[in-house]
Amino acid sequence: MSSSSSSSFGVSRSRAMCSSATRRTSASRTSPAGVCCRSQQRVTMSSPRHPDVERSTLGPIDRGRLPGVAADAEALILSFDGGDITPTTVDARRLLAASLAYLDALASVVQLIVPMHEAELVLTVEDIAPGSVKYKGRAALRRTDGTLHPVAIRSMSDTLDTWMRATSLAPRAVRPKVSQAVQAARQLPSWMNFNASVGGHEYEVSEAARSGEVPTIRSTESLRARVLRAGGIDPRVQFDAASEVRSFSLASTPELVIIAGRSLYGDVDIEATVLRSARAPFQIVGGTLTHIDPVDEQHDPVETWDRWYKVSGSPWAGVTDIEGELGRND
Amino acid sequence: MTSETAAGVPPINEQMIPERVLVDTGVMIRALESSHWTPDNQRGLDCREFWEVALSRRSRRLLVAAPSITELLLKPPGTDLPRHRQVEPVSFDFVAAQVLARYVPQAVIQSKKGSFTKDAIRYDALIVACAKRHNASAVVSLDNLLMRDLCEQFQIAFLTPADLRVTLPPTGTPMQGTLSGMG
Repeated sequence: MSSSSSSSFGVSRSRAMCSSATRRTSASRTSPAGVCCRSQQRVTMSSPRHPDVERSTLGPIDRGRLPGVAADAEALILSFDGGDITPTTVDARRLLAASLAYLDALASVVQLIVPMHEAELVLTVEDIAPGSVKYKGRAALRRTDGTLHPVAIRSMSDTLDTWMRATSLAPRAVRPKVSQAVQAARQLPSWMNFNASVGGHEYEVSEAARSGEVPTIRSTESLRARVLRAGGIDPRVQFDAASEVRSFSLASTPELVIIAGRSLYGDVDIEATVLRSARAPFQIVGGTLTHIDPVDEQHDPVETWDRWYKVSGSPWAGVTDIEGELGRND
Repeated sequence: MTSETAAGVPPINEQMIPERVLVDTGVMIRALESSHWTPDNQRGLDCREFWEVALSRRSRRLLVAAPSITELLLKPPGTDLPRHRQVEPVSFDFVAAQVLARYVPQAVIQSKKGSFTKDAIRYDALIVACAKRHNASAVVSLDNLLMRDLCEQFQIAFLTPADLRVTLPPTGTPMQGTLSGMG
């Protein structure tokens, strides 16, 4: 197998996805899974970009900088297990196809959420471990100046997981890639589990793909959340919230995106029409942001609430039996 | 601190307070209403001190359930509640309803009717469901039997402000009895 065909996760160099690559090779070996690989191989794969943008703002990845990026990047592990899987009994092409489709879909989600001129998705392979079908690597969003973009790939993986479970909710720009990832994962034998670990978060990719279209429930909700990202050609705001199992992305108006952008990485109170999976843990799989209020991050909370209580006329002054007044005495 | 604790009463230990904790209505009202911060009203002093100590750490979040906000505003109208990063209003929503149904089925509520008023059961159950749904580690309430029981049903910690008046041994001090028989 040529060095070209042994690119990370089986990416072909002819694909637009694999726009630049850096390799550091030593002796070739063939893994027990039958996948020809090279030890200490480092291969990068970037998200799809417009050719003009690639020429003007994104040069080829510098070999010398790559290890630094890899060291700071989020760990990425794609693994397959279940049944009586052994490296000699699986068809490596299916695993690689499923892996590639998953990474393609992740790259398309990245491109949707992070404008292409801001950062590129860089994936490196650190090890193709012998004795198991597990691809270990790193993933990072690297800016043109070489620094890491603060948005975690993990949050993108959250979104991809959501959309793999409900492809009809994925924006049109990424739906084909997400559907391909679902189809590729479904091509795997039913006894096989395909899992991804991104930044320490585990994703059951095959389970997500096999779950079919998850029934959803639409509800109007208010929530305290943290703004992770605001913008995009199709305006969206990405949030995480201590109340939610995963980060989530909501369609928005440009006006609300601007308000959200002022509170980047800060907390806000939001109102939204959300679509939740009808199955526990009822994660948000889509929806529309309808209102956003910034929250006070500057003032002392005790003074803020004391002031409010006084301005409100100290409504509970003179009430000695509070529980009685509330009708909550034992 | 605004309030003063009685002599010999240890202060509320900030390290004992979970990072994400739901505050019940009675605690919140006493924390805000200064007429309860008198030496003869230890519960009022406990609530105020808890409120101040808990909010002294910027990363901590005190959750206030939507039903508690209703109760807080039962008295003549005030202005809109402040929106502060560390005090998080949490709603009783679709997920909370599912949580309530899972942890406290109707049969449990029916079984408590003899001991408590229906309204109390409903309000307390709604509040604890909000705590569970919004991932609070504990509910801080006063010594309320029903609330304590419901927290057990929801498998969520129940604390009173007085429970947090704990003096921890200095770091590195071995806990009594843990070393015996080792080695």
